Amino acid sequence: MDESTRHTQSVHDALLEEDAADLYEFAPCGYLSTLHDGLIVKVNTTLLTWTGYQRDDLLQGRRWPELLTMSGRIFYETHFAPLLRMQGFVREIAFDLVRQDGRPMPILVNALQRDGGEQLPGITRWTVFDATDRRRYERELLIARNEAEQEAKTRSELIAMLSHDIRTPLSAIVMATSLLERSQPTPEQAQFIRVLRSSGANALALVNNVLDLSRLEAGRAVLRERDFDMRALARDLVNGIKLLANQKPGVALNVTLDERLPSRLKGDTGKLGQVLTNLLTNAIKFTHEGFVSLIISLRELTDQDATLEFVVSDTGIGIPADRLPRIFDEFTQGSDEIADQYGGSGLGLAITRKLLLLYESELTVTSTVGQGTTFSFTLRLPRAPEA
Amino acid sequence: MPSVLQRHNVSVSGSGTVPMLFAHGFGCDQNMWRHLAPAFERDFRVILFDYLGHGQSDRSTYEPHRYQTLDGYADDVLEICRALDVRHGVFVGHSVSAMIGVLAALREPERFDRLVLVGPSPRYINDEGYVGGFTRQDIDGLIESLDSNFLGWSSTMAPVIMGTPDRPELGMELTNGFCRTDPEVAKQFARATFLSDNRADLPRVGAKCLVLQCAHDVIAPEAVGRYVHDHLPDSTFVQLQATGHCPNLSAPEETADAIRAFLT
Repeated sequence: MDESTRHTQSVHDALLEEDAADLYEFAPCGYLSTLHDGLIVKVNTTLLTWTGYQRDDLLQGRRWPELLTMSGRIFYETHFAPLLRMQGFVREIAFDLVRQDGRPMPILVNALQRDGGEQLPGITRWTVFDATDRRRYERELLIARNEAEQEAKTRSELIAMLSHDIRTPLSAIVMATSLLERSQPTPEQAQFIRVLRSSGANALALVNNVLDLSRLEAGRAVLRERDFDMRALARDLVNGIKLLANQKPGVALNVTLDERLPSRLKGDTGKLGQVLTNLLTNAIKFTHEGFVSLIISLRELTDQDATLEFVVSDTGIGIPADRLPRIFDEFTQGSDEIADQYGGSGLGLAITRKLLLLYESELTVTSTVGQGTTFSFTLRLPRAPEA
Repeated sequence: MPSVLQRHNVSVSGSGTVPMLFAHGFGCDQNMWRHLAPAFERDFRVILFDYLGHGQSDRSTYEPHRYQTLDGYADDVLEICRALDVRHGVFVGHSVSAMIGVLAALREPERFDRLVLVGPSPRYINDEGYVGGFTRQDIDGLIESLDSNFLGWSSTMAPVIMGTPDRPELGMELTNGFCRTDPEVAKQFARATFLSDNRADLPRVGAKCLVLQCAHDVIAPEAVGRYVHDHLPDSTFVQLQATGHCPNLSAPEETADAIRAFLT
């Protein structure tokens, strides 16, 4: 190697070394190395600049966790240190560094444990990021979330109050209408009364739905369980719905109950009744010919409880595939024309789904346009002693 | 309702007959004992468990009102003892579990003849004539910081686990243990732990006690360990070389030797 090549090589080496040292010292993050017990043995300039300490302050017997706030040290000793011991590294844990002048600085800490050899002690390498901005964002996010939650709660309370206030006079109107019906009206008056009755009943149903939904959303709905007979419940439900089904002569209402259903179960019959009534009346509403069926079958039976599957199918108009994913959202119907043609608020399925969630049960739906729709869910109900 | 042994993810091992129950402290789960407990399996019936909301315990059975003070945790320890018919056994409690063991031993003295207290503190907050090491503000700050860190754990820990294909057992441990400590449970445990005052309970303990004191332990400083030792009627004080708050992880052999010397 001639003189000039040697010279170039040594300049190159010097630059490399200078670069590496420079990178370590002035990197945009703090670096330090400690023994496994936290004793600081090496620290970069960035960390010194951030903290205001002199290198000698930190290299003479200081332990790294001593630079954290007292609350941070508790977290360090109870969570961070054990985890680091067990897995050899820890990433991105939030602490506050205490500067020399006592001011705190939010940081994110990463640690990597390097085992020493036979003669050498193990070293832990630390990378420290300035988290001042991130901490501010986190705090703002938290405040925004709390505000949004508070707003949603206020709105839901307002809706509940309004609905309640509308429901009382509406009930009076519906009741007075039915009294009026019995007062021998003229045929013309009877026609007006019928309009009044059906509009009043529709408005009342809507308000009741809104109330149900706001109660469910506010988490105020609870399960009121009692012992009951599944067969009797199904019979009563179907009897109630027959009237509606009879208005559609081309639609048969079929009910199939599993013979093995235990006679006594424990459950919230009010809510279960509401769920099945919602699904069956929907099915009848959207079916013009063919059938609507309810099948209740036993999926599993133990000494403690019974798992039942409920399937409500129809041969109705069906739901387009692109509407299916949103069918359980509030104020959503199978299509915009449906609202015009069939009426309804689009709250029924939202309520049904939320009622089932109280039982941690998921309502599922399959549908083919022009062929029909099937809703199903399973419920695990405790068995009750025989009456 | 699952049994108490299922709820607390209790494991029993070892070929001895004398029961030896290990209780983990705040911030961890029974994994804490992985380097220490095996050392006693030859001579003892080793029992490990997780407090509810920690490790692989059944979080769904956690009732917040039960855990407002350390008494609820002591009740859990005693329930486990009843289920396994623990009598005249050894209790090993790390950190806050040292005082949980003291409470359990006072309530049903026949369960444990000997208590091993690793880094015990009967009161963490300073009081007139007593230095626990912390102020009320320190504890409030800790509880607040738990929020941001658990937020961090859940979002950053998953890639960490995925990133260690060469040591899959570490990922497993993390998913099963630390990551699943419920933040609400942790906050309540922090409150019950760091706001407790069990100084008056110490002189009433009938069991033989071992106080294991670490060097440079900020959670349970030496003066606090000495206080515990001075106020227990029958106690042995051992100063370990190990530093920090978790000698069972940082110096398992030294810790095992000290416990073995106490038990024989």
